[in-house]
Amino acid sequence: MGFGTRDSGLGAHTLARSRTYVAVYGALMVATAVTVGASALHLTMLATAGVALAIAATKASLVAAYFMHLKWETRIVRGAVALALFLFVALMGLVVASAADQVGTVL
Amino acid sequence: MDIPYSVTPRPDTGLTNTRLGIWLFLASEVMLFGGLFSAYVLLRAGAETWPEGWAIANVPLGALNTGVLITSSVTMVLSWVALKEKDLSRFWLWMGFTILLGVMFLSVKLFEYADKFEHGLWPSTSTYMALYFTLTGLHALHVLGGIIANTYLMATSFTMSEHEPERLTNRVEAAGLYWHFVDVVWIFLFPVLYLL
Repeated sequence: MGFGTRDSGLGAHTLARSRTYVAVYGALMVATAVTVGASALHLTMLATAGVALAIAATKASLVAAYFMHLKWETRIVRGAVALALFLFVALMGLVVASAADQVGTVL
Repeated sequence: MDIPYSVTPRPDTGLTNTRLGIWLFLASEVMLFGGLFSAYVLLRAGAETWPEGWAIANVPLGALNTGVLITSSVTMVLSWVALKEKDLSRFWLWMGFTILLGVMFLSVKLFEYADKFEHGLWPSTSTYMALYFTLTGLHALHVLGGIIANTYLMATSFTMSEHEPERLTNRVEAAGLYWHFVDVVWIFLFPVLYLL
């Protein structure tokens, strides 16, 4: 049961997916250029961080949705990812809230 | 000992154990890097002074490495597509590119490290440098792990494609999920350490 024959039925489907991958790739490269360009504007620290992290989150979502196929995944996988993200956001939320209480913060 | 349900989906989860296992592993990895990112925020907020990343880190090289890793994610997923289409030679081509791009990423990283050391910048120099080396070092170890896994898959693909093609495809899918996760981590590391 090797790779002796080519599955012609799968060809059109995977070709469509391959085009999607290339389109997502283009979007990711453009977003990287925008991130670097925005940082060169030397906005305020909070504005630079906001723009950079928003673009990073968008890029990460594209990678997860299309390259990792999360868009087509089952509920059990989506649930595991959602739980991990919830815990990550909760952790970061607590840390940022704690940092915001500090006087003389450089953030 | 073979892992059960590594080819056909397990009836109760609807997934192969390979895929469920790698997703659960990646969920735990989110918290590994999450802990380090939270350390970054706390230490930066508590510091009296903090250097701007672009003044110390090499932004053009960081941006180059971002492009390299994103490109390797595409070649990785295309290697999986090639296996789905039962095209072994195209799998070798895309997987070969993925491995080369991974090596290129590490080479650039090593060049950056050497440059830091030449300028007397060590993990003990400052809190920023300690975080820079810890975060990028842990990430680089993940890239190295991915290169080793991908090389193993490439080396065993000739035999597996003959006898266990579906298992090979599922293994490449799992390795790909890990590789894309490593890409996602870098997507956040680059702006945090190089641009802010």
